[in-house]
Amino acid sequence: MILLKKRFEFGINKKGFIGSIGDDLPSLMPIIVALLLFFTIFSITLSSYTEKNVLLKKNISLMNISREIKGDSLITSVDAFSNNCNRIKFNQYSENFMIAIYSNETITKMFANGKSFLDDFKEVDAENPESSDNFLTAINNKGDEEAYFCYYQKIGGKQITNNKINYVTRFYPVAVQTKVDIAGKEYLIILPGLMVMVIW
Amino acid sequence: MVLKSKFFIGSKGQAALIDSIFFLTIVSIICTTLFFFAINYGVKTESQINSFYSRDFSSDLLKVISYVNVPRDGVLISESDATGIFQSDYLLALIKEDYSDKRKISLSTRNAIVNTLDSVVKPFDASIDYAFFMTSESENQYLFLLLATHECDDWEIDESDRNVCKNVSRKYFYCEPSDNKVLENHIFPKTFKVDSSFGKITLSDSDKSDAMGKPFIMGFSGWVVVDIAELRTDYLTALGNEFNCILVEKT
Repeated sequence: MILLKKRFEFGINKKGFIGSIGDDLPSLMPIIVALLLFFTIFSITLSSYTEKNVLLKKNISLMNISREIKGDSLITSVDAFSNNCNRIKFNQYSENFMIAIYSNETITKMFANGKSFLDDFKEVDAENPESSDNFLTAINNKGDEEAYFCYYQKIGGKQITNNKINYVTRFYPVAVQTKVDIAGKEYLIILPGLMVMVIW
Repeated sequence: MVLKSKFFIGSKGQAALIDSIFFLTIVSIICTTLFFFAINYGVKTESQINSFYSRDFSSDLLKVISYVNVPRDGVLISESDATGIFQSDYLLALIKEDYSDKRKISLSTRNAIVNTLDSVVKPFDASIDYAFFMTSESENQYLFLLLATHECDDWEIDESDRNVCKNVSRKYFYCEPSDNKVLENHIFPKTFKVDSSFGKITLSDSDKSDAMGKPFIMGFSGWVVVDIAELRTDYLTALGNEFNCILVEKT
């Protein structure tokens, strides 16, 4: 009876009262919405910022590496190219990259077959790039056939065949001094070539 | 006094609601700022990097032109194989020879230039038009102007009576304009963005060179393909036209 009386008194005195949290519900809702909105936008901004920074870093590394490897755009021999490649690898970039030089004839053939440079890079055996039909090759100072190919993969870096990688591709015109067989005779001439670089 | 306190007691919940709406408004402003930051961050840097790349590409292209060896008859090296006779020289040497002989670039040298440019621009062949030129510093004319454009070869009318292009092909024009500002005046203003690189070369002794014996400017300008009247064959090759071009058949 006493309890009922107390409840009755309570109900009369606190009209519309639906609990300590319930009473604040109308003001809590905008606060919750605001917090949700803030954290969503914040996380989107943060991921977009990080993603763009990674892309910019890749682009800047690509520019530096390509400038270093092609030098003055004249590649005098395959040995000079691989020396430049080894020097770049020493810098221990935080990105992985592949660089190759293609001749005009090969590019025409590749385009006619609908093959992209990236397909070619994905197929190449990095330990034995000479096995690729498409890269320009030359005889090095040891007398072996060597491809104009440079490959760097950082420790724990993803393979180019991984579908989840984000990569950047760039092309650079280069002049390559190479031996060409014309009508049974060998000529040492400077040919226009295309240096293709993929970074991921 | 009693009334005032009653008023405040009655409006407690409303004040909290207004506060939270204010909070929501402030958060919305912050979120909008963050959103615009996320959209715009890196855009300028990226365009700067792309511009560096375009400049690198076009200056490398000019370097390649000045380094490469070409068959003296201007054909492709793969085609020299068939003739059995092969004589090669620096492309720049051929240009200098032609200039020294006739103050003009010969047909075989033009072909050699077209073949060299064609091979290095190949990855962007479908998307860019370009101009390669040599102009004197002191004379108001081009020694050489090559325009590489895209043009529709095969128009077809579809079901809704619209002209539809079935095939687009690359066309090369060798031009002898009277004024060396034709590109700046007629083409560049109608394109989206032009990336250019320039280099200086001396073609012969100063006493045999242009009026002031000054070096020539070798340049390359590339732009994303646009379909404008000024770049069509009938306009470029029209008699009395400021471009004064002829169509070059690629060999």
